[in-house]
Amino acid sequence: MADRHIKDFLNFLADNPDQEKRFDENPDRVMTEFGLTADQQKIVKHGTLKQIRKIIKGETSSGFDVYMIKMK
Amino acid sequence: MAAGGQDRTGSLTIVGGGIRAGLHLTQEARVRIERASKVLYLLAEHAPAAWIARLNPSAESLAPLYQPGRDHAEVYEALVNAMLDWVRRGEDVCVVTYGNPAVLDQSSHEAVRCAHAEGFPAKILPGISAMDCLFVDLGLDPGEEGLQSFDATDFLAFRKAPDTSVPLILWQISVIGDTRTGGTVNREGLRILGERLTELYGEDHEAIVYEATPFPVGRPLIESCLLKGLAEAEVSGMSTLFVPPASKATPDPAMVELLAASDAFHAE
Repeated sequence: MADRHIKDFLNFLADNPDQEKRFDENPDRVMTEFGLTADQQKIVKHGTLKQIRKIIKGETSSGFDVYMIKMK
Repeated sequence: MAAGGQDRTGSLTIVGGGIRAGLHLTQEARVRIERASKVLYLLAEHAPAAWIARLNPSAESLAPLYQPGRDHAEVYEALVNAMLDWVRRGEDVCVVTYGNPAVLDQSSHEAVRCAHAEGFPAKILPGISAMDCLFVDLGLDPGEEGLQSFDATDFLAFRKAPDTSVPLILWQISVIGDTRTGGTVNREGLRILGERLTELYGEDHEAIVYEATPFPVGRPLIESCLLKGLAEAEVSGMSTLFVPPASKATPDPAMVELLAASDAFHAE
């Protein structure tokens, strides 16, 4: 359940460009203020694209696993 | 103005949300989302999407249309219909797609064409595309050595003959030859692409599998691989292949001389 915070945190940054800028300057502070655990902070800071994607996917109840690739 | 000279209510605007969810949104796109009476959106994957609903609570995802195993053409038609259904009901519809809706996205172009044909105002607003991110993340300036860019399936099917002194970008390498939606990478397609590129560039030539990050955090994925090993490379549904030049372009002395003369003439 704690992992849900990462998705929420990403939504928070996506929704708040000012916070994204603050995160860029001081990630620890912004993540702590948001309430992420130390382990979650480590994933956000050092996680690869693949790791972050896996966490987000795990949080998605639909289990939808298709990339919505644009068609031409 | 509708065919027959009558105004119709309802309109369609397709805006690009960019690659990094929320953060790449342009000001004009944001205003369109906020002011629409109906918002539809289609992001590439489970990237953050709550920001769209916060901008406009009517927001509804089109992702359910991408059921696995569905024919691409069928999905494409369903997307266009989903957009136009709301327009025909008289809504001012804003569709948010990832990247740039005008790039590698026939459904957006087709929806605008259909809306126009039915007399509705419709247009696409640009967004930041994966190519823009690639330029930044790989430090590639297309003004330096030029640029070649193809859909990977077309590259093979039409047996494109790239200039190997010019950077090459191949899109949608995970679904080469695929006609249906799916959650897995077509490794056989990658193998065929690797073979074709090896013929052109040599088996020791390295390429880069690239993927921009759709998240507000984290780094892009940039993995080097030999062309002959492409079938085993770490590729996801959103990967793009960047093939650096195999040689330097050489100028044509006669043309260089002609241009110098032109410059001198122009300066007089």
